[in-house]
Amino acid sequence: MTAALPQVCDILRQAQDYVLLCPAYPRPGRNGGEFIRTRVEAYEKAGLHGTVIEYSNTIREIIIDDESPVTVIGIPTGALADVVDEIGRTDYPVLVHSPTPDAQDLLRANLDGERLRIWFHGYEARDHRRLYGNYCSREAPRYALLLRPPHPGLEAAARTFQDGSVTKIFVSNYQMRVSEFDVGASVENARVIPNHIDGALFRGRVKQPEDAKSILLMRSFARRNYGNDIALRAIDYLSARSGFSDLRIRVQGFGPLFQPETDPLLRFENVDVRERYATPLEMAATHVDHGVFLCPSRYDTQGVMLGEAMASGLVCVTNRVAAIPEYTDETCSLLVKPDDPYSFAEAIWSLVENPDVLPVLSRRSAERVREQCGYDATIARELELIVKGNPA
Amino acid sequence: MRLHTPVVISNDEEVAAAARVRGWKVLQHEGKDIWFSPDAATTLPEPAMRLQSFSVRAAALPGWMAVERFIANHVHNPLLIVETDHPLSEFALWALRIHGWPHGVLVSDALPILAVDALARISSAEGYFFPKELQRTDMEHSWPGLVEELPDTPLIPVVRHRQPSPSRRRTGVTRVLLVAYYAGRFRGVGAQRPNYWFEEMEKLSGGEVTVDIAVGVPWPDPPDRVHSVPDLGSASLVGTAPLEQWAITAQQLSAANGLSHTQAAVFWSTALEEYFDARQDHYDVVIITGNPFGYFEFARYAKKRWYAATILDYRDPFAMNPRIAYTPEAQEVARYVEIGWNHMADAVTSVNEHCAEWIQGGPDLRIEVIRNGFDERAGLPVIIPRKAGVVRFVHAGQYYRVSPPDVFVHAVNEAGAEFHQVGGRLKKKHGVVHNHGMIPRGAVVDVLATMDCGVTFSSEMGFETPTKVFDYLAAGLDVLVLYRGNPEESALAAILEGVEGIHWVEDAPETIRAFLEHYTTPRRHPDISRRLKFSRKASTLQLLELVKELGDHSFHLPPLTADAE
Repeated sequence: MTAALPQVCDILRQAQDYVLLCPAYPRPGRNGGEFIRTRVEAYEKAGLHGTVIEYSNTIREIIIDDESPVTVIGIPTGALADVVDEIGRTDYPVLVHSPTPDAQDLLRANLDGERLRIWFHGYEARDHRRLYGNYCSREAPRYALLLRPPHPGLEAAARTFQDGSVTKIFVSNYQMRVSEFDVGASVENARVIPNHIDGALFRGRVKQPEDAKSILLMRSFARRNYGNDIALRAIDYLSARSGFSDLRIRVQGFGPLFQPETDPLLRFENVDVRERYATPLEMAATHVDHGVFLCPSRYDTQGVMLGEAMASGLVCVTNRVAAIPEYTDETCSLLVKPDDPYSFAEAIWSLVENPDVLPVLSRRSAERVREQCGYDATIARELELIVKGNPA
Repeated sequence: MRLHTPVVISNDEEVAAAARVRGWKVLQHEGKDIWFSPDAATTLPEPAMRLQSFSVRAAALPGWMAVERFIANHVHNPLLIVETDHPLSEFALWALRIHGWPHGVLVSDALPILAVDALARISSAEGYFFPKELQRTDMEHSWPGLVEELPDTPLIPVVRHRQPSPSRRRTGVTRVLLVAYYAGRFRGVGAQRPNYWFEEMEKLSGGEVTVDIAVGVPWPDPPDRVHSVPDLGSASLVGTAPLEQWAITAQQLSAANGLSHTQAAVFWSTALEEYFDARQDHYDVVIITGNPFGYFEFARYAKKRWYAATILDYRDPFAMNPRIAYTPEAQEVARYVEIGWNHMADAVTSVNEHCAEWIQGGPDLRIEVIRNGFDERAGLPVIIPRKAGVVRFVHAGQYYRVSPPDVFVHAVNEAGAEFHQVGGRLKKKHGVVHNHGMIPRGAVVDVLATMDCGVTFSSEMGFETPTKVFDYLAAGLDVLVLYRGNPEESALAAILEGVEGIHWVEDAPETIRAFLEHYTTPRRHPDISRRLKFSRKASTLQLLELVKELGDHSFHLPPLTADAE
């Protein structure tokens, strides 16, 4: 329902365990920010009650959704200062995900830093040129020009990094390391806590040798850094091999690159191409039906899709890039050198020719994810951070 | 081959007369007016074509097209010959881009200053027109590229060499594309490194690696696998339609980065892309070597087009190069630009550890040192007995602001010794110098054989390991290192440690004078291990290992450990 600022202030004045601010939160018919919602739901289950505030220029008027278990308030970015002012009169922890540059400065200027826990998920503190391959030659100059220094996002992040009173959270050591380089400041008072992989949902089964020919690629095709083209080229390359037609391959995803990248595969009868979004539940169910998961990548600060597939026991073929080696290794996945469809093809084929490794890799994958990204390693640590803080 | 009619654009009477003697056309110009004769005249849309200032945007374009038609109506297959700083210089580049009209560089007065489009003019020209002999000599001494005069015939034959056949993927073979603006018969020292790699890497690999080279400067009668891709400067961005937004943005970006060292050959990357877009090649590894560095951007294309692994080769430091007089702001921009290039590299290479430390990149950037060295292919030079007489010092190559030669040359003059300079000439103000000028590599070796002591400079930052030092060692000469700062921390110290006949002298009048007083009996050093301290072969083998690793498409399933069961 639409509302006015006083109503928002009333909600914020109520006793609660935290307030969470983010620039995007999932709503019916709109993706993005799923990883925030899963956190909020987990906090709620753990008995912490809070309020979510989504601030965005695309929100024209204040909207309050108090029918969900957690109250979600949408506000225009212009109202953020008043909201922060109100939050300043309270004393509960303030959780912030992917803050905009202005929001970082506003929050630090108006709130006690020890109340702030700020999650940097990647783009907020990254030199965009790490993903320069996303652009064609005619697009690249525009981004290079737009994002030349001084870059407000990186400068705001630098100020936040150096503010030791604020707790910063990164999802991988890799992300923290490169963020420090890109931002040009070392980060004080930081923690690395991975995104949670829901082992209850993605529990799958131990894959068997006969599953080696049942291959799944299920990812967003929104941008080139997801690297789907690497895997699809690999499939194309393998199509010349005897035995290729015995493989059962499913390619599912959505996004502007889906059609151009998958069109060349339509000629193969054994490749099932489906352009559609999958809910987490659908993904988990699809994981059960397959043995091998293709998770190419050019850049991931963690690799949540990879983790979910591993949790389901899928044997993953992925790339040795960015933070991926932090979350899997040769004992449970096949790590291929970056940006190389030919090596990727060889890796897929090595499983077809050595299907006996599947049960071992499958079991280890699931074990590793449970240990590294399960509840205790993620949500429990975040709960501790919310309740006890992380004093510098 | 196609015959073209030379059209000299100049108002200089002497130039016009020299052109007419050859039977060439002369196009005169004043303000916006140009004319072959009073009856054959037209008007320019703007006083000058300035591609960087968007001269070919919508309003001016029809006018420039009319100028092009005017010339074509009066001359069959024109070949425009114009100075690089003339208002119509960039028109010549544009005409090459649009109609394939070849062009020549007129040098009638001052030598060209190598700004972006002037360098492109020189690199893409069919040849030079020197109405005055002096300019030809000066150009040959100052520009290490080929300085070939246009024939003095009324029509000029222009030959377009056939480009190599497509490089197809072959299992078990690593296809390498080497991208080097300066290579082939370019006489500058920078060409030696890519030339050696191009000529030797395939042989050294035993056929496991093949090497193509894309080159920006002219390479007459090139061997197979040479892709000659002319640098058209800003003209690479334009066509016969008004400038597209991306091209305007690219120019704005170039202007915003605002550094001559980033802008040199910066649009060559666009020319390379267009060239390779029209072909069906496959490369496993692309090595891009600079300086100039402006086309390092090509790494992004190489990755997208071929899924190639990319190596950026910094023959010199870029952003942190102490030889470049950056303002702090300009250096920050250069640093930013360099980091961006390196994000697109699987590895970067440098010539020594000092320079490697200055490369700008994140914690995950792979940096390898691939040294320069003595080109051992021609065999070691013959050591001839020292001629009696005064001590003969020699310096090969160019000088830099951070280590000027004046103090040393003066001291040598005072001591009655000789100073020889090979390469870019030293002017009289520096003292008495025997200038040998830009000479072919074989002649350099011959000159060195008659000398006593090779001179090199180690600047305050101590980052240099110049190729000349390897040549001095190979020639069996003493070596004099004139240092500033702490010599023990210099890159040269690491290379020359334990080598006989190396004289470290502080680059100051008193210390040089004291050295010269005592240095009266130079020695020859025939010891093979000293002479071949570093060969290009050794460092190229290192590069080859890197190439094979990066270009390897195999995948090996790791063995499962015992806990698997």
